[in-house]
Amino acid sequence: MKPGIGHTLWGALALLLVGSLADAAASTLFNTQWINWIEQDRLYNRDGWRKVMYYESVSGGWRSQVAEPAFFFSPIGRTDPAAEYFATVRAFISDTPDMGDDAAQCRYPRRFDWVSSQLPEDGVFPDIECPALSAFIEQAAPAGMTLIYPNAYLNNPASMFGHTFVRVDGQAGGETRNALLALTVSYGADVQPNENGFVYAFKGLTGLYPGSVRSHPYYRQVQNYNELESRDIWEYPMNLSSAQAETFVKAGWDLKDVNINYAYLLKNCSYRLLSLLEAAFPHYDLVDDFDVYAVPVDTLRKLDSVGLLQAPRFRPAIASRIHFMAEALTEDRLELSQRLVDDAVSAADTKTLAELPADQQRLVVDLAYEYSRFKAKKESAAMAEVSYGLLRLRAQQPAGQLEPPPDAWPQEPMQGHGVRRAGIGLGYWAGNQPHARFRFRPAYHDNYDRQAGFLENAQVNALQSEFRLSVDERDQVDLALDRLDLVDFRSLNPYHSMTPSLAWSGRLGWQRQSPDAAALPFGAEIGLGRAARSGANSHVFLLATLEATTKPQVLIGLHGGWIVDVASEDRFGIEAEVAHDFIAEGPTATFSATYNRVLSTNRALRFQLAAKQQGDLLHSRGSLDFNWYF
Amino acid sequence: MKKLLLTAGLTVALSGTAMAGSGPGCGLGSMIFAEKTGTFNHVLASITNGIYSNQAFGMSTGTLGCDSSQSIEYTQVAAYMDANLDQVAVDMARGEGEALDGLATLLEIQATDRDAFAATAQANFTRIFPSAETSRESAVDSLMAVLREQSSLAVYALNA
Repeated sequence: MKPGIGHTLWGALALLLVGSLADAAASTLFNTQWINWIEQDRLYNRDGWRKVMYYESVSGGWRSQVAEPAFFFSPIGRTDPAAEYFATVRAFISDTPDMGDDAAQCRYPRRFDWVSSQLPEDGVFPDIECPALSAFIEQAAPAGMTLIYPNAYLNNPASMFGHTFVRVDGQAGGETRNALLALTVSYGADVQPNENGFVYAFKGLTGLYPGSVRSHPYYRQVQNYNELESRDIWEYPMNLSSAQAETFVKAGWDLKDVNINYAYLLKNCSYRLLSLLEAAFPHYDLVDDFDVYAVPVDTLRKLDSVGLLQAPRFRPAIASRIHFMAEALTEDRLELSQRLVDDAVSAADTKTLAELPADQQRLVVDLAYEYSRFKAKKESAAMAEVSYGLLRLRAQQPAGQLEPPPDAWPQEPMQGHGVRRAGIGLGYWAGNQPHARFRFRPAYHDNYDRQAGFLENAQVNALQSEFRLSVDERDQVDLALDRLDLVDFRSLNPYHSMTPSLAWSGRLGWQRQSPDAAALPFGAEIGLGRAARSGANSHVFLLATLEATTKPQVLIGLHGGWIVDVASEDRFGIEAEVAHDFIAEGPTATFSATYNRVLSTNRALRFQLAAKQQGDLLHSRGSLDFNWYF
Repeated sequence: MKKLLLTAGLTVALSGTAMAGSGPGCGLGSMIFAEKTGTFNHVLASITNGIYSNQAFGMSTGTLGCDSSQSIEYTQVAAYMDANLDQVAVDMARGEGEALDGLATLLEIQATDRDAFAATAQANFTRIFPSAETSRESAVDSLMAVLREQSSLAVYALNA
């Protein structure tokens, strides 16, 4: 039996069964025209049906990304698009007006729209009112959509690569409504309160999290990202009409209360969002390019490549606003601003303030207020009176505020280099023949890469590997793995007195310590310290480090460095590490210099020289790599 | 006005897991600059990207849990103010801003009256927010009293 005929029979049987139960719809149910229509064009094989139902190709057929049985009308619907198609049509036909919001048409409005649009005749399905859905759409008053990208955030493993969600912009009186009142549609893991980062990482990487589509008002999202987590937000208006925005809302409604597994690498917030956009707009192919992992900025690039995104707006985080305003003040006025908060709006400082020119008074108070709210993250109770006192002062000054103009915005994320990096180059270990080097990093960015578009001074290297291909005196070719990092993080944010932050590092991986060493010891290293601006284009850092390796070694030491932006995008840095090995009972010292020459957005040359003193041994080496980002 | 229900209510509509009165929102009487290291911050923290707990979702209840004897318009404004009291306060002190515009939207203030609304709010800042402990109820009531005194804005004042 051919599969098509099997589906036909299955469908006919299903229709007959329902037909015997539902008199009202019986006349249509027995109309075999239906089955012919569906079979004639094999509507269940259409790309749109697959997208609306989240079917993805698996070996031997199809399977929906949605695992929950309740999402399907057919018991085998998850893996059988045709059976689900017939069962769905049956369910839509069987709807009766008294079912209201529980009617199949109301429960899955996007699915209903799609199925109706594929059938050649109108009036096939009963007319059902959906009060909850109608109220929801009326309230959302969809006018258009905006893709929202909160920047990467190093202090939360869930957010290291950024995040994406959609804002459904509303309209009021024919005009776009205040953006804060708009609703948002996002997908995320359902994390239980108090679940710690390690549990998150484990469950996230293994795909054990349930996830779901949620809607928060945009003001909640702004408070969360801009204020609480201090992450800049990029807002990309999308080239979509109000009708399309309504379709998108319906697609989100289809997934209301439906569990869809969350997996950190691929089936994450950004990937699922692309699936949701495909369900709403099946003529776009958005998820095909992603098969191993989906980094949020790459999903942005995908949406941009199909012409969905317009130039973004920037919504600066609280720390960014503080830094921007602080730049606009002279040193003594900056100090006054800080004192107003730290000394709780003292009479002396208020008096000093009153002597400033009006526009400066306003700026000093605005900055102080932002600083007081930043400080309130840790000292909420103490800051309440301070913030309020500043607002009393502020209310006496003219309206208006200083906001960063577009030319002061950082470069938007898509301007950054590709997140994958492959390098080929030459290396030299003193005393050995030169060798060829191959490096690969699936994600994401390091302290010497071109910084534009990325969170500055935030290094996130994942699964970075380095191979050495050498030929010895006897012409033996040898390919060796010299380094493999599971993770290699480094946050070197320069300290700012109003937004104090620690510098830190963490690395987990294997690294060969000398060219002749047979062993590839595994090690873990953490560092904690501080970075500081040392000039307009440079910063210094010093970290206290603790390292343990399977060599075995237990090292405690210091790691310092100076990194400077040369020309516009090149970076040069020198770093030194001294440590004491408690097992070998001896010191080690490493010195390195790195220069990254940016050739274009996705091409760079990197020179590195390093020397390492370990006991009586001195290893020095150099390398030159051509790096390609994609 | 009825068409423009507060979007916080939408949250509930899409999540279907509302738990009225179990968190910040109507009826709780949020305060300007209230302690935010406790429950409130926890709610926000848990909507971090990828991290949406069911509980946090239920807690952003919008107009649910509000006093049902109040008008729908008043309830919407109250719910919005509960969630945005700090933001509205600073915008009023500055005489402009997006959060204040959001409030003006909910009050259905015409575009031509919005500057006057912002200027009035700034001029009466200490009356609307007389202390750091000003509650939402008190701030909304004072704002309505201030609006009633302005001939051009009185039409926008809501009754509790």
